[in-house]
Amino acid sequence: MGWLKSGTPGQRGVPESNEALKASLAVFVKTHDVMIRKLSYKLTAEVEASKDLYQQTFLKAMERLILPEYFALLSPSGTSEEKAAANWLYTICLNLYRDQYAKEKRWLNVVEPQYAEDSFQALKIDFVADSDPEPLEILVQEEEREVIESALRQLSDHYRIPMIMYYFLEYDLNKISEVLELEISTVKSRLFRGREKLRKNLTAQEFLTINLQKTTGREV
Amino acid sequence: MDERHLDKKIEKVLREQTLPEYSDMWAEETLQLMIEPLGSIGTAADLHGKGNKRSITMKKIVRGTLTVAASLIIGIGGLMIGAKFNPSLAENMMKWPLVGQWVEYLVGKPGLRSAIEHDRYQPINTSIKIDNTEITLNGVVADQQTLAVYYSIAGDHAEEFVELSIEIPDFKSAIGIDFSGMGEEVRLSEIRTYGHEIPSQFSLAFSLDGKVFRFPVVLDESMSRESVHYELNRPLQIADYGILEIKEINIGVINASVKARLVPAEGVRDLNIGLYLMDQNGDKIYFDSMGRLNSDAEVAAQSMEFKASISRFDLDGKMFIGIDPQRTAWQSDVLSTAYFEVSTETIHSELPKQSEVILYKGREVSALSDMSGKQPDKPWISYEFLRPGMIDQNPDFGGHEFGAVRMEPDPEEMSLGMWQTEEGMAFNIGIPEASKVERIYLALFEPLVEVVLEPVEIKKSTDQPSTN
Repeated sequence: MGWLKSGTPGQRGVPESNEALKASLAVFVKTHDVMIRKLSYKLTAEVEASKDLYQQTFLKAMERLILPEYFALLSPSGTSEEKAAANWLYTICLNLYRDQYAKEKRWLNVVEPQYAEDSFQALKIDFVADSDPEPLEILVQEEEREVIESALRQLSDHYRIPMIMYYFLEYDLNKISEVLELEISTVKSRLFRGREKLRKNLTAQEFLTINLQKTTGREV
Repeated sequence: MDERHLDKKIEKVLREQTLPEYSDMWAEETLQLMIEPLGSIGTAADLHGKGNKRSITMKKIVRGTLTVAASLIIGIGGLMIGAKFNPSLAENMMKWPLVGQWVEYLVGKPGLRSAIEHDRYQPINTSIKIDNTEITLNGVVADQQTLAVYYSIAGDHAEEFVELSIEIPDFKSAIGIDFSGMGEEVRLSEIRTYGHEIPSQFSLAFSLDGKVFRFPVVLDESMSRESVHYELNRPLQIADYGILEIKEINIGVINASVKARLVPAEGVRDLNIGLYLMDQNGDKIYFDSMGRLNSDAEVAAQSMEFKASISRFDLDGKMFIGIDPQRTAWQSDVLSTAYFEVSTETIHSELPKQSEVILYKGREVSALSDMSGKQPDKPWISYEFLRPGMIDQNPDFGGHEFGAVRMEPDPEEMSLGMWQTEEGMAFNIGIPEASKVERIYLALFEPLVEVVLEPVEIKKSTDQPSTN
């Protein structure tokens, strides 16, 4: 890393030349490539859209990365800085998705209940044990996964985004609250309700062999 | 297959993600797009300069946008402050889309508006300054169990949340509902004492930044004591649930209350009902909260008290009372959150058999062990949620968020949340495991189905409003 010159804490790792900056950007993209591919695909659920989101995420990030105060994110040192850089990039990706793709999808959300019911094929599957699956069981599990993923795609972004942040990005409630600018209690509610809706959708298509109650709770 | 298994499956799918097909080259393609502009630039330092220029342009655009936005906010804000003390303006503004709900937010509920219209606002205009913070108690509107407080804060901490409490003998706690936003010129809070009459002399304590600003208040009784008292001629049979005996209905300057006793039918457990009054025009006015009276004996006897934001000035002529049946309540242990989805304007929750309930209001904590300050076996909490509260930062995206007060709950403590859904309203309570809550239930007051008894005519006990 000889091409990096030392600087103030806020400007640490400022590349000396244009070539050094390019190299630094290459490392940055390579480091976050897989996770941003997964995240953009998780959010958009479409290959073309996820590619677009992926590219916009890095291009948006670059607008900042070329500024001296962001060089610590471009060339993080240590696990905590790497994590901070990753979280920063995830937030860009999420915000781009919320700003652009989510708006395009809003019409779908408006008609979500009917859309969801109409689009599902009834599928009766009982769960199989997780341990030592046989080939047939693997096939069934794959089918289950597809059905759940399909149900997840039908879920409104209102609930889906907090769920992706919580489960996929493993953000804690505070972080989700901060990024989405919501109260923690609201985040909790959306997580809970998202799961409820997911369950409801899966139940509607007879994913379960038993009838679930309206909520997981008991009547009191 | 049980639900837990399904939950695990869902969680697994959520946690995992395959890569999109043919995406191996995305990084390379993207990197080309990123470094393309760098080719024509000599050094990184040039880039910084370019970045700064762009930043300056952006700042100009943002500044322009903010100026326009600020002008709008100031304009609307000015109107709203005007509305606070000008009921006619408030009434007109209530009809404006979007603005209306915020006007209600500022001038309070209908009962309070009506009281102000009838000149029941009592100016006080006393200030207390501690260090660099000055709080002015502008004035109050009061009836026997409600105190609307208008105040303002200047200097340090003017933008912060202030906890307001009333100090009367043998009464340690009250629910303060903040109708105003932080940093407003004049703020409005409403305090309800739930069953404890507000005396003519008391202290108002404002807690801000660890300091207490205490104002002695002497009420003008001629402005606050007027009430209308009703008695009901006969008990109400509530379908198969039991009999409700209305003991008395008091309608004060700001709010109304009904005291009632329920005699449940055989096998009926924890019956919760809602009440409404019907005014002379046939319009229903719902009692928006319900709480059991405080003594254990009264709880055992199923005595209840209902409240509504109705001013005595709103009600003349014939009145009727009707009943809405009980609604179903649910409890869930997922995420330690009790979740309720309801179509209702008001929710009352009761958390029995626990040692303490903490309600966060802003950064202040009110221990609501009991409205009387005692620790009964069955403490209760009553909330009002219909008042517009928090609006999501991006309403188009997230919908409207509602809450009684701006909550900043500690995850380890109880938290509350409510939001509007496609179906109506939803409500949740985050409960710390340590609280060992055994049951939660809600009483909902908006009739989902119009299952209402024939309204019963009620008569005034006196022809003229009584003055205590």
